[in-house]
Amino acid sequence: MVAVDDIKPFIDCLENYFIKRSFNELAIETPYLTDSVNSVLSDYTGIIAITGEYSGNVYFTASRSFLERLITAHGQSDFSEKLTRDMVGEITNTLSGNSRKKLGSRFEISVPDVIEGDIDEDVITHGVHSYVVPITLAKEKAVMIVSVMKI
Amino acid sequence: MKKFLIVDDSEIIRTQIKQCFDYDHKYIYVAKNGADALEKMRVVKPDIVTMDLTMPKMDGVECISKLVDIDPDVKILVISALSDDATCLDALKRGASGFLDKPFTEQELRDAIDILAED
Repeated sequence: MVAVDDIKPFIDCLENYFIKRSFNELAIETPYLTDSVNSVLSDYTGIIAITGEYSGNVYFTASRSFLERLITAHGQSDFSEKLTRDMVGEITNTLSGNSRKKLGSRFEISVPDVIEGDIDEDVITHGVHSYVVPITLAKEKAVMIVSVMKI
Repeated sequence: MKKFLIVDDSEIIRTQIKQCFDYDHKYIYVAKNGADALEKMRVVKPDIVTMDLTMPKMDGVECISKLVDIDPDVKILVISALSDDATCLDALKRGASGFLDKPFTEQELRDAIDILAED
């Protein structure tokens, strides 16, 4: 498991995404630990695989209503499956790219995947405690999960 | 009147960029991937292209090379979350004219486009 300081770059990138999009009412809450990633997943999840000196996944998971709020803020009213997946994919993609720049060569970061509902057990990193970072945007909920261990 | 081509596999981002433009929207075209961008390049002959780097079928860096082959004078603004030095340098070597980090504000995009449009 990484130290809590190691997840700060991911939190900074996430915060930067919402600040740049003028979501000033975003609240990032105190991270906590979990043994079960699936227990905190929401409707849609973007997954970034981490390799290199560290191994595991970073997840951004959000409710449909959270994503619909973001879609509306992007000037769209289409809440189709396609656009909802596009929205979570874009957040995760931005998080992935920005984190790679901040963290440098210690972390190899993949292009993200988007999944609806629970994640297959073989995708989840096992044997490592995961940091859960709750996010609230005008009462709608999302979560970033950092589930990474040093090799 | 300048013509623009927005290249991004995300419909959310294509719409966001399009809405930021102050220019007449009938001169704004979109492409969902590199292959689509090449086709639009040949048909539309845009003056300015905004280019995502992470796309299926053909990534943005490869696409930049091919667009510049078609029109060496085209201005290409890379808009990407992948803004590490190596990626930026690679894109510029291939022919990109500028780089804008994702996430971006409307003003940042307009300023970047205005600089390219002046040239």
